[in-house]
Amino acid sequence: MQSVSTAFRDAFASPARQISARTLVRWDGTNYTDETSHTLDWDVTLRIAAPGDNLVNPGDVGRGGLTLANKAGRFSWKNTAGPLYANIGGATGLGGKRLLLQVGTGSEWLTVFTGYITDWSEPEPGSDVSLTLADEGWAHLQKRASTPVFARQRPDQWIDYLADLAGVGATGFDVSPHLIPWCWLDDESLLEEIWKCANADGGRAYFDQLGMLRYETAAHWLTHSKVTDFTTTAEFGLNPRHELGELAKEVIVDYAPRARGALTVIYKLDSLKAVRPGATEIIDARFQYPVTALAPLTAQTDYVMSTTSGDAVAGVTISVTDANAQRARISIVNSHATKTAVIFHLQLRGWPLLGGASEQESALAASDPLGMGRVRTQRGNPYCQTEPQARVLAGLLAARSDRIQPVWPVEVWAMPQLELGDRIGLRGLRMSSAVEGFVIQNKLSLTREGGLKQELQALDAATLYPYSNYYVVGQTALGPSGGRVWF
Amino acid sequence: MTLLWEGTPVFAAEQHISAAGQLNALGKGAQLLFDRVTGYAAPFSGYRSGEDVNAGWQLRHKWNRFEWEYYLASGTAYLAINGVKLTGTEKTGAGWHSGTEDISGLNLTPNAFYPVSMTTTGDVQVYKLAERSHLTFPTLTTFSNGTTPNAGQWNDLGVYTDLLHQETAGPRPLFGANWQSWAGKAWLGCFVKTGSRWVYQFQMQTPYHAAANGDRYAKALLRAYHATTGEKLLATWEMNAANAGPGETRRFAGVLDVTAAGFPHGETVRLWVDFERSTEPDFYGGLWVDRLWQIADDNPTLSTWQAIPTWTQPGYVTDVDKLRNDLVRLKSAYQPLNFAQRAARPATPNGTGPYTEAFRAQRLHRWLHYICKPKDGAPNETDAQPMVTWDAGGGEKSTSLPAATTWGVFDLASQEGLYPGLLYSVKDVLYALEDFDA
Repeated sequence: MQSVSTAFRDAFASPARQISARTLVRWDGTNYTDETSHTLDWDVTLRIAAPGDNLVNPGDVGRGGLTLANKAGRFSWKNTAGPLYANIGGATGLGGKRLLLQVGTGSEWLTVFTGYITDWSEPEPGSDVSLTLADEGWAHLQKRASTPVFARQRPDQWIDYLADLAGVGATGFDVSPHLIPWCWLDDESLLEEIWKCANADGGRAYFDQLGMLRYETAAHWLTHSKVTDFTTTAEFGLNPRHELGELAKEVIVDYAPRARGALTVIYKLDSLKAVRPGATEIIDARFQYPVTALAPLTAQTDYVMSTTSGDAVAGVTISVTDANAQRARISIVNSHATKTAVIFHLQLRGWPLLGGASEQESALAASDPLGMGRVRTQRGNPYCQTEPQARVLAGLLAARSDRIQPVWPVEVWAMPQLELGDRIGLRGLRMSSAVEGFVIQNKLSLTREGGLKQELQALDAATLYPYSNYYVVGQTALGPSGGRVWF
Repeated sequence: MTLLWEGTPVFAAEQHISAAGQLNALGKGAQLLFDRVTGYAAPFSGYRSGEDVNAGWQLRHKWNRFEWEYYLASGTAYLAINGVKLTGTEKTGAGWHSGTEDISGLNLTPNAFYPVSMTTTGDVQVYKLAERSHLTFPTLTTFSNGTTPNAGQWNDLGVYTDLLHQETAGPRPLFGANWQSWAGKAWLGCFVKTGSRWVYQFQMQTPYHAAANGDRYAKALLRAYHATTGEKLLATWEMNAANAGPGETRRFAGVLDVTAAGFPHGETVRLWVDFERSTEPDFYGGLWVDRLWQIADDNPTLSTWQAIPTWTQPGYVTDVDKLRNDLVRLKSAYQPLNFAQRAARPATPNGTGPYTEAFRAQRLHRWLHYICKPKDGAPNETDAQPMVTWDAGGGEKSTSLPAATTWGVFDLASQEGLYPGLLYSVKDVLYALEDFDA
């Protein structure tokens, strides 16, 4: 739960509350402009997928919408007379502008969404403009990168590295118990790799309402205490959703071990390459395998060159730049004044990463819940490389697959400081006792007519974790009366 | 292809301890370490004056403490690394000489190979050349029930395990076979005692004619020495007029239990094979020592070792002190020595003897590092096609090694059936050793 003052909390809890809201847009890329006076309504949804094969599905970012009054054409991107034309009249229009949505008391503001305008519609000039919003993750989804091979990275370390590459600002990470033997990227989406890495650990990575990238291990919610109780006043206001498709008697997790191989040729130039006097040729070499390191280029072994008539040519430099796991750039500089250098043979040698067939770990649920023998599999995650990691993941998913994990959708008296993962209590009119759950979806909407509304989905906490008294490093004493071991 | 060593886990404050990811991973690591310090161990193959090759070794550099031991019967002797004399090793006069040199000043590159040579004006026997680990281990807290170790103390378990791995996963020499025609040492060296069973294979030939006093015999004697036990005669094999014909060659192979010798576990022990025979000046036979190394006992033990628990949910985090104490026991149970690899001997005394392989071993690591024999006068060419040969039960298999006049590396795991523990031989190489790393 976000930290707010007592006055803020009391103001929002009051039945007679007066909601203030702000819409701030960074039209010029630097400064936020307050567009509250033009804001008609908005809604935003942040979510974490319910337990399944993936805790955060790749491609999952928070979404939302915002309607702006546009009678004077302020937000019409082709309105050359509009006050924002200098900022929105370009090639991308309103797209890509950063935006904050806040609610508050007038003196204290709470950010409930940080994201970007990803699309907009303006049926006719001067009509209201509807913006499509996405959270911070959208800005990083298209960023791709190649990296060298890194050895022995914890998932949180690797995610941190990827987040740095992506230019993510604020981050908050759990420390994973696992080590991934080998990590690298080969022209891959940074954000998708972050999600895959978190999945391999049974954890989740997501951007919160402040635009902070969070990585949480599967055990993270164990530390959460209940932050508030909600009692619905609506008849049948609590109607849990069940996903029978997630039940299974066995979970299988594949993992792909890799090992460093012996020095070998990992790239060979197929054709002759002529470099004119004073010219530079660049070759983008793609390797047969990812390599942990490249061997230095050695004349006669790695390259052979001369003029077309076989004469020696001096002043030719061959070097490797921008070396990554599966690609490198080879630069051939011919500084000779008159001779053309012909590269007859060019190769790169390196120490490759060798991977064999995948292996698998399986875990049985406590029972076959449906008696149908259903087996679920988790395959193809490049960050699942070791038996312990696969075993933990299989055990965790098996424990979650042996019974229904109800999800409780509920509309509550809006408490905007709630965050994804917060543990809340829920009680319906006819329920004799409250249930507790973790917020996995948080939808806030603001309309002029209806004010601030909040719809939550809470994952039932009762059976999500088999036990509650797990051992915590530095807090629990060792021994049979201490804490239980995690998967 | 599952790697046997996957690294050690990391702990952090407020983390929930994982059974598979952390505790059992550490337990598995400790068990693998137990196997290493109680299992197969190849000895260091030494040198005696009079051998028909130079006194040369190669070491893959890991640590900067260089231990040496030799017996000098006469003259002066010294050791050199990369041609640089180690002045502390230069000795004159009959007797045992040993010491430890700090070789950090030589600026050797980690994992690079370097030559070690012995130069003498007299008669020398080299028994030990090795680098010794000087890694610094953390002091482990007790981990007894009721205590609450912090993240740093938990992490020390992983650090400690990883350091033990580094100390025990270093290069292993291949057995450098040797022979003797005259009475004297057919093979000599040393070993770190890890078990009580020795695999041996000798071939011995009796003289063709009786000596002037009527004797006609050949005898092999396996001896060892440790300061706490003194010299021990471990076994004798004899061929004489009563049990062997003139010039007969016979193979002696088996497994020897040397428990009774009482060598302390983990200590370095001198080992040698003496050859004795009746006098015959024209005799071309002798004693060939083909194999000699330790293997694991049927039920290897270490005093105070406790079975490592397997932690599973919903069990409690308990008995971690057993893991902790076992790690400490492993540390004290093994002398982390990186033995030098002896240069290969010529195939036989006269080129027609019973064996031709330069090195034999049980596979331990994945990577075979080797240098081919350079052809005389043509340094970039090799003398013969080096081969690795093994028999996994379906008949003998061989594969050629790529020519390498500097150090080459070969993936033993890439060969069908050549699993860890399998006997194999390497021939027509100058040096060969195994290492965990490529």
